[in-house]
Amino acid sequence: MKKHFDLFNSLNVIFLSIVSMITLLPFLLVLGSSFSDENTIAKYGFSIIPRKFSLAAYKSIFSNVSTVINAYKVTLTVTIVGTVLAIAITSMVAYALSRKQLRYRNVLNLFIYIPMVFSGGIVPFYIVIHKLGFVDNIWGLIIPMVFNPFNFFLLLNFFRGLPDEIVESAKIDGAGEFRILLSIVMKIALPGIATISLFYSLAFWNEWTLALYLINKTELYPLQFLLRAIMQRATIIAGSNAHFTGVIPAESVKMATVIVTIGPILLVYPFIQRYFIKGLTIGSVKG
Amino acid sequence: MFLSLIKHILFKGGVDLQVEENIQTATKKPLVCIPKKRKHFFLYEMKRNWELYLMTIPAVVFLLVFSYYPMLGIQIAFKEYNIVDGMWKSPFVGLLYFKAFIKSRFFGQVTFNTLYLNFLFIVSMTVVSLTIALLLNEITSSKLKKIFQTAMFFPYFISMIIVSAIVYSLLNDKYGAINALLRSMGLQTHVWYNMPELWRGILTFINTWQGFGYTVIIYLAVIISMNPEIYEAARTEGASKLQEIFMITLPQLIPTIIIMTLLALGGIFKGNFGLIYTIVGDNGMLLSKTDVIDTYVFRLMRVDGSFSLATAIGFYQSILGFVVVLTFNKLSKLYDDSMGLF
Repeated sequence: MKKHFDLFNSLNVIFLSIVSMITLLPFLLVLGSSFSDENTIAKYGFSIIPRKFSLAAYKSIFSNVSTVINAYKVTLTVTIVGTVLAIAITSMVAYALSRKQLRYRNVLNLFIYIPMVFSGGIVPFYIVIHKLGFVDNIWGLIIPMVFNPFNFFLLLNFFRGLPDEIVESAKIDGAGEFRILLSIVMKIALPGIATISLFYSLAFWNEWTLALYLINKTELYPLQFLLRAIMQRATIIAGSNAHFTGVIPAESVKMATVIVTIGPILLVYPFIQRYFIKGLTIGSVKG
Repeated sequence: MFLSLIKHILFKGGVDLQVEENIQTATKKPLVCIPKKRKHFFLYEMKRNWELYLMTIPAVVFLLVFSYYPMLGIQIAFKEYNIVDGMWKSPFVGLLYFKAFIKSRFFGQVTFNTLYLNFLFIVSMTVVSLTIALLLNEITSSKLKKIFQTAMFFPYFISMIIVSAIVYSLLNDKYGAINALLRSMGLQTHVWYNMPELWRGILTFINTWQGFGYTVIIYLAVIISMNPEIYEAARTEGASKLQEIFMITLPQLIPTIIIMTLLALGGIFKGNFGLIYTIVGDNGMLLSKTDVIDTYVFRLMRVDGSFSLATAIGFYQSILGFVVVLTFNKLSKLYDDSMGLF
């Protein structure tokens, strides 16, 4: 009996290790290729371990300051400004609708729910964002994403779990609703706020469809969208760099741009993933 | 998948709401100062809670502008849209564009591709994540478990653009790692991007690869919340690991599997635009097998500029999607009364 257990366990560990490798190997392939010499890529293709180590791709990316660095600035601005606005909007409405004294809260809940199941489709949305003057405007990458019903319901769940007495006693002390939200509720519900901040900031960081609809100017390209442009023609970076001598490292530049784009996610991922797991499982475990 | 969770949370939220309301109406004594007249009640309520209503304004305005106003834009589907007249004044053409779509060869093709691809995605995602969750649950070392889970969850965090770049690094015919591997083994290489028959499988694999870590977490959370006493009892009876999995864990997971599948089926008319647009793009070679409603609508809008036809098809998709959501919502309610919002 004991032996059977051990066999099962070791096979299980081996199998799951293989599955984990399958999820991670593609990333290692991209990483390895980004450090590869362009000529060896041309000859042998992409490889996990560079046949000939080279920093040419990264040099090419960072020597041409105007594109990647600029896209980083755009994405950072969008992510920071967007997340702050989104948290403000979402926590205000979630707090208001978590208060039982609000008699129309069910109507408002439904009002927020309906867009999740029914939409006008992309054409009217496209027309609206164009009419609002968001073409080649950095606000066009922020405003259409500053509220997400899913995150709202997540935060509403958190706020509902808070004891009513806290709010009631603060009210007796004469605090206004904005004051209560800012200095009491948001502090107590910090794990909830942290979770939706992560959801929002990841969404802003990874966003590219709005850029696809709205952005024509290269200097307003967010990182993801620049990567797409580079994948389609590497010359945007390497070709425009007049000082670069020798072979244009087109393929390794593509891979290096991928690494540069997921770099920040990779860095914070080990620390933030548990908040994501908490946020994601909140609805399913309760039942 | 994301949508299914939204609903999952919402159903619970919806239920909570109902219970709260009942408790409230049952225990609340009538307030002295509530005026009887409906109109006055509205004003009274606004005055009493003006700060709270003020807080809802940004979100309400957002939804009015980006969700509800575009819903009015559906009228473009019934009009000959032109930029000068806009969505309100363009001439009315009735069902012209719906008829045109139904008569075109794209109607069958994109509808079938959307449904078939989503069917493959749902089946593959369910089978893979269920298997992995059950196996992961059997890992005794919590450190190892964490490492596996962390590795599997990572692809969920990256954008479709990155995914498409990774697919390129593997499948590109000149530089791709798969062809390089085949070449080094002396085997025939292939131009993968020219082989439409493979791409439903490839897209299913990529979709599962990116999303399974997330579904595993949900299944695992349900497994962990199961009663440990049953397992202890089984162990004292001498049950083997496999018996535990098939006779205890799996049967208890069935309600979750059914609900997750029903919810995923609710989104079966929604194509995964990001996945298909970034990876397949405008590769005409593959479109016959991979073109879904969403990518077709986008092409009509951006390449052809036929806003009215694109809106008509989007509307067709919304309506069918809505009907499917209602149907499966009803089904999940039949299955378990506490599910479902309507």
